[in-house]
Amino acid sequence: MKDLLRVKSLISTELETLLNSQIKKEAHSSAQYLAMSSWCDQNGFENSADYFFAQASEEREHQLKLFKYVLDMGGQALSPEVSSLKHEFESFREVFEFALETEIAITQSFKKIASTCHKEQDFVTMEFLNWFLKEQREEEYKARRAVELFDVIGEEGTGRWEIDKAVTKISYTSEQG
Amino acid sequence: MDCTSFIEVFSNNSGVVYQCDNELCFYVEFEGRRAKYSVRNLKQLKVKLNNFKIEEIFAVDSLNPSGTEIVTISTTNYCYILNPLQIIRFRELLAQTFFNLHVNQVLRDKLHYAVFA
Repeated sequence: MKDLLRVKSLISTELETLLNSQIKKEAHSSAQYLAMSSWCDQNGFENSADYFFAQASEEREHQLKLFKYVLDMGGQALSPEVSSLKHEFESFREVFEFALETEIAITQSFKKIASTCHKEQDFVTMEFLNWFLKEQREEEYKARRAVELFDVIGEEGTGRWEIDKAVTKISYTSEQG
Repeated sequence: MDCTSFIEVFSNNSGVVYQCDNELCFYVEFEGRRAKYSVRNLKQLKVKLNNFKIEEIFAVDSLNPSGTEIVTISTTNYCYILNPLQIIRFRELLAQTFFNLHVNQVLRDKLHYAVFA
């Protein structure tokens, strides 16, 4: 008896569900970053607005990358609904703290998918996921550094203006020197 | 029907599911009705059946007090009108079917693909 499930798809039903769930999370993150960009722009933090706009674009790319993988492997990729976005923030700092929370949630989610790949010995999907895991190192680093700016620079006086300028200079390289 | 390529995956009192290796599809007989499904469509059918919240049908303020549900799968012409008991039976039939398909997957991985390694 042929294994029709395998003939039609490289990924298991469970992994397909998890990857679709991740597609939804990336879409939500992208939309959430846009909401943050809007808040920053309206409150005069134009560099941060640009920063979050770029982040939104990156998350969208992640979503499409996952979407294509599910399709390429014979699965059914689901275009997600996005709801429950946070548009209002109490402070400039809260925006960045929320961004860090979002990135941590994304990393945790990828770890769960990676764990399932190991359990199923799906090394093909694992190899695909490695790019995202490496990407999350950068995403979390940048988000964490941004929050730290609030303590390093301070918010008093022109502090928030300085923070807004410094946000654009955050960069990550995994190589030393 | 080509009997050599028609293999019973699972059967119970409610119905039977066959796999056809020649057509790479499944034939589902449920309460006397036969329908042909691709792998994708069979997965969709399982998801749709599992998504019904049976307990809500019996709630006092239920929006669907009759409990009747209509199940259709896009790209097929089949339509089921099911009561709660039939939904439960159909779920059981497909749950066991997918369990057996996964067992087959494990066996094939160990016995068949291992030969190529």
